[in-house]
Formats: sequence, structure tokens, C-alpha cells
Amino acid sequence: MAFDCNKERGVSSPDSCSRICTEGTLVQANPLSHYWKPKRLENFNKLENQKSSYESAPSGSDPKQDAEASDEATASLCGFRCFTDLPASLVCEVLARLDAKDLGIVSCVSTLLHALATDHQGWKKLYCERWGLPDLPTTLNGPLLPGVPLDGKFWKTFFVEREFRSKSFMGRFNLDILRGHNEDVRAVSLLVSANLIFTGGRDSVVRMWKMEEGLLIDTSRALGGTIRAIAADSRLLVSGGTNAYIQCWRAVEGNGQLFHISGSGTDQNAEFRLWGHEGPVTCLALDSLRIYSGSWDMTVRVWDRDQMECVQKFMHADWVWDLALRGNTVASTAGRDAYVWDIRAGELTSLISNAHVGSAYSIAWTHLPDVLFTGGEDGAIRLFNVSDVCDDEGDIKPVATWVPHSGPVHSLAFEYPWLVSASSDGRIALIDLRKLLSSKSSSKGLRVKRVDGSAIEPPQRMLHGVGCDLFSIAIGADRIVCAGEDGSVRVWNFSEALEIERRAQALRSLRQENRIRRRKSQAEMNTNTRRPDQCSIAMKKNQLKGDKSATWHNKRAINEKAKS
Amino acid sequence: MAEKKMLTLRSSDCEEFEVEEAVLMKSEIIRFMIEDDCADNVIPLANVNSKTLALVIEYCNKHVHADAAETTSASSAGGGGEVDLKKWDAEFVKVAPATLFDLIMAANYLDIKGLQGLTCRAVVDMIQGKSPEEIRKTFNIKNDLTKEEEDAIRSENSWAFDPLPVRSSGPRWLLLALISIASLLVCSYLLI
Repeated sequence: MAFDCNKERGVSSPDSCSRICTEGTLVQANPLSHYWKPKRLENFNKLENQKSSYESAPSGSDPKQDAEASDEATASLCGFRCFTDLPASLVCEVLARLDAKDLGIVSCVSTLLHALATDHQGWKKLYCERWGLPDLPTTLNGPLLPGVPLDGKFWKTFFVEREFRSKSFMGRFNLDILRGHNEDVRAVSLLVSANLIFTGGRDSVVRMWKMEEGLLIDTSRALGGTIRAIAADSRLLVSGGTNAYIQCWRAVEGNGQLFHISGSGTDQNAEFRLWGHEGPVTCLALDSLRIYSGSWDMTVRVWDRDQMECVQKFMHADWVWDLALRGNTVASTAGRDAYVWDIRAGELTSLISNAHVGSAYSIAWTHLPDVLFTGGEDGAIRLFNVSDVCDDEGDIKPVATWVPHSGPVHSLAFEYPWLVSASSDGRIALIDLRKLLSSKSSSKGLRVKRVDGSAIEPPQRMLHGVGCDLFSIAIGADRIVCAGEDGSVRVWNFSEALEIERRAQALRSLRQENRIRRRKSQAEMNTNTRRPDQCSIAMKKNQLKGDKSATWHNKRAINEKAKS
Repeated sequence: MAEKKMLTLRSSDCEEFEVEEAVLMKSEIIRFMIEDDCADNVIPLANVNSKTLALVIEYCNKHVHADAAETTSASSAGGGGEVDLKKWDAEFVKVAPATLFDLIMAANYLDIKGLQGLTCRAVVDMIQGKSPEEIRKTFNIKNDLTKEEEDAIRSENSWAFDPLPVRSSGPRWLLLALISIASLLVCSYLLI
């Protein structure tokens, strides 16, 4: 039969398609075979596995009969009335395209969907997309056992715990003040994996602090000039400033505090400098292979960590103020513009012209590809989708704008879902981006809700009371670290808020359990005792003939007598 | 002009469809069969019924011809064809859930990546933003969870249901000051 394009679409009739696949039996397609093989799900004990009426054809039978039998059998398999009738692998294909919220909701639908959604490897993707790979030994309470497979349940646990923790920034905090610098502090960096805070400023020394206790561990010798940028990972600490070089410290093997920045009695190879910039170094970033630095010489340089030499140079039209790294992409701000560079290709991929009125001082990537924030001299914070060219001139327009500050925004930091900003007005703004940014199963894999700039909500929270210019900010491990011109480093610690919330949640669940238990016992008592209804007993005692209101008259008369 | 090579597909209910070979190349399974010279005159598809197969062929036909049109008009700027194809795809998956599930199965069985992605996305769109009850209703899923199990699972996934905490942006002392001023004004008015 020749295929007719206008052939009427129809739904397979459930009547003509008696279901072979009963609850708990998943049918798995075997490509281009004549038979469907029911595959039992042993994992789901709660589902009743009924024996399939369909058997595969015996090997030594007549091919014609086989063909007829298979046709009859497959005709009965034509209609999938229910989503859970699909093979588990295909249900998982759909689940893989859901975002975290919907995946959580789907797991409340049925036993099968709960099992598939909880064990689903999509949780790993969702976690890593938002927060990167977790520091496994410290993610759960205590270290993970070696050899334990990180299945979907583990990743879901990580995800839910982290999602819960992210709400702590709306709760109570303890404010710790780290004193030690005697002039402006221009740069702070937080190394969560090692519980360390690094600070540097106009006094030209780098200081290393214990994050938990707030104790000063080590201080570098005077490096000369003002330190304007610090970056660190578990293998390298780098700082840069007005002296135009990058000071680097390698992690020392077997050293509890990771770096020995004072340099007294240590191996000289642990410390080195990178020369090349012709102006003050204003920003730094690290990945596993390279060091990235931006300077007022209007360049961003890429340095090889092993060879200790500059391998790439990106030219800008103005002083470089800040840079942010995401995979193989570097975003930088220079003058009032923002630039996006592809490191592999070594070329400019996007240019955001006039991102701010005045200089664009700060930049930060979100967890989504192509979506970034800029902060500027005008006190505004803008969200841009660099893959979204809006007008004929090829300009990229902001998706959203906030104006939480009355002074320039000197620094931005992002950890899903919070963007934090530090400004000259001495205030810190916390903006929750859950509503605005969400990964969806669109063709590009992300969705940024376009919002009218004038209708934007204010920040979810403002932290006040600093009373001086703030120059640098970092976020991580339930803490916000910020520093400014008064020389002190402030640490807003929200981990207590998390504990309070945990206790409240535990109490809520306990109450719910008690309520369920009470309801159960009440139901059991009712079924066991079967007490006769009191009203029916009263009715039997006072069977009225004729005037039904007589009883009530009598009662009233008795009451009146009693009163008198 | 060279005659287009045709192949015949036989559905599970013995209905036959004559289709261009180029159209069938969308299916990885059939493409391998053609390349390995295993495709006979009639290719039996025991797991796809005629109604579903008609839809699958309609999808492949549309996409193959759209790709061909795009290749020929590559010099002319603008992605109008792509927009039209997206609209067509969106209309194509506006079918009953049962038909959609048949399409997912057929796309998986025939290994048609584009159709599999499209149908899975359609199911995702039907799930997004719905409550568990609405999902059950949409997909005719029987709730086999006991009340206790459902409560336990809901509390385990409470983060997915909880609305975001809302907090006023202004400092607390400002709010308190405003309240106290308002109360003073009310008191003074009452005294007068």
C-alpha cells in the first residue's frame, strides 16, 4: 500500500488492544525481532507480577504459523494506555529531561515512578550543573565508605541536602569579624574544600585564615603595592596587585594548612612569580591547567600552570576590571563593556556593549551556560544571556536588571541560587534566582525568564551595618565573606540557620508521625470495640408516640423547677 | 530524473506502506539494514501498528523533505524553514497520551533520535508544573501508594513543593520605626 500523508491520525483503541503487560511487568523492545520479551522488575516487590499470557514461539514450529501468531500478539501490544506501561529505560529517558522540582513531584505519583525517579542518574547531572562535583568526603555526615557506588539515591541525597542548605541564607546568621589588616582589604577568596579564607589589600600582605574558627594562620611577607586579586584551589594560591606581577604559592605536601605563605624555611620551589603584565593586576582565576589574569594594561592573559609562562593574550579596549571563568570560556569586563572569550579558539565570541552607565566593575557566571551577571558604577546588577542577540545591530540586551545599591557594585559572587554583591554603599544584596533561572528541556537546554526591568522584585535580602566601602565578596559553605576599606573581614555565618531549620523540620515530621499514629490507633479502636452510637441508644429509650416534642417540654419543665 | 528507490514496511497488523529509501534513512536500524544489504522487499515491523507507523513515516517524510529544502536554499539568509518545522513538530505531537506512548515506543524501536527526543519532550511538557494528582489524571496512572507511604514520600520531597521564602528587602528597624510612628499618630489623634 502506498503511503498517504493525509492518513487520519488515531489513538490505538484500548478495546482492540488487550494489555499483555500487567502492572510490574515491563515490555522491552528487541529491535526488529518478531517477539516482545516481558522483563520482570524484581526490584519493586510491592508491584504484583502476574504471569504474561504471551509466550515466545517454540523454535521448531511452522514459520507461517509463527508469523500469524506474532502478528496477533503484537496487535494486542499496540496501545500504551499508561505512562508507566512504557519500558523503564524509556520512562527514564523522559525523567532525564525533567528539572529537579518536577522530578521530586513525579516521585510522589506512584511506587514505580518513585523508584525510578529516586534512583535516577539525572540527579548527578542536576547536582553538577548547579554546584559542580561535590567534595564527597564532607558532603554527607562523615566520610563515604570506599567502594560504595554513587547511585541515583546518593546523588539525590546530595542534591536535596544542598537545596535545603541554600535556603539557610534567608535565616539567622552569626557575624564574625576577622581583624589583622590595618588598611583597605581589596581581595578575598574562599577555599571551601580546605576551610580557608585568603585576604589581601593595601598593606601588601596576603593573610590566611581558618574559616571555622576565624583564626589567622599565616601571613605572607610584604609583596609591595596593593593586592587587588586573590584566587586559590587545593594546589595553588595566586595573588596580584599594583606591582604588575602574579605571586604564586604551591601547596606543600603533608602540610595541614595547605600553603606556607610566610616563606620561612620552606622549599623555594613552592613560591614563584609570573611577569608579563604592564599594569596593575586587577583580577585572577584558576582552573586545573591554567591561570587567568586581567590587568589595567587592557589584557587578559592565560598562563600555563606547569610551564609557568603566558600562552594566550586577549586584548580589550579599556582597563580590565574583572574576569570570570566557566569551562573553556572567560568573561571579562573592561571599561563599560563585557567580553566573552573562547579559550580553545582564542577569539572573542560575544561583546556586550555599554553593559552599564560608567564602568562595569564586576562579572560572574551563573550555573547555566551563556548566562552571566555584571555589576557596575551605576549601582545596577544586570543579567545577560550571551547567546541571545536581541536586535538588528547584534547588541545583547539585559534579561533582567536590579538596582539594590546606591554606590558602585565592586564585586559579585554566585552560588546557586544566590547572587551576592558588595558595593560602596556598605551593603550586601542577596538575590535568589530560582524563579528567574531554570534548566528546562528546551532545544538549548536552558530557560531564562525574560522580565520587564521595571517590574523586578527587590533583592530577597540586604545585609547592612558595615558603614564603609566594600570591595570584595565570596560565597560558599553557608558563609558570605566580605571585605572593605575599614581593614576588617566580615564573615556572615548562616550554618546555625540551617540547624534551626533542621530542628524545626524534625519537629514537624515528628508531629506528623504522631498524628498518623494517633489516627491509626483511633481507627483500630473503632473497628475493635464497635461501640454503639449514643444517639441511637437514647432514641430506643425514648420511643415517642404522637407528639415528638413532648420530651423537650418535659425537660424544660424540670429545668424551670430546678431554678425555682 | 532517476527513479527514487522505494521500500515496503509491514506493520504488526499486516498493513503495508511503500516509502522512499531516503525517508527511511532517518531510522538508524533500517539505515544499517540498507547499508548492510539486509533489507528485503518487505521489512516487517512486528512491534509497530499501522496507525503509529503512519505517523512515524509522516514525521520522517516531513523532516527529510525539510532538510532537503534547507540544503537547496542554504544561500538565502533567514531560518524561516526551521521555524515552520518547529511549528509542525509542535502540532505533530498534539495527540492523545496513548498515541504519544506508541510513538515513543516506535521511535525507540526504530532508533529515530529526532522523533524520540520530540515525543519525550512532549511528555515532559505534559508533566511540568503539575501536581502528583494532576499527573496521575493526565497519564491514567493508578496510585498504588498507601496513605502512609504517600505522606513519607511527600515529606522526603517537601523541598519540591515548598514555596520560596519571602523576605522584605528593607531593614527590620525601618519597618519597626514606621509602625511606631503610625501608632503614635493614631494615639495622638485619639487623645485630641
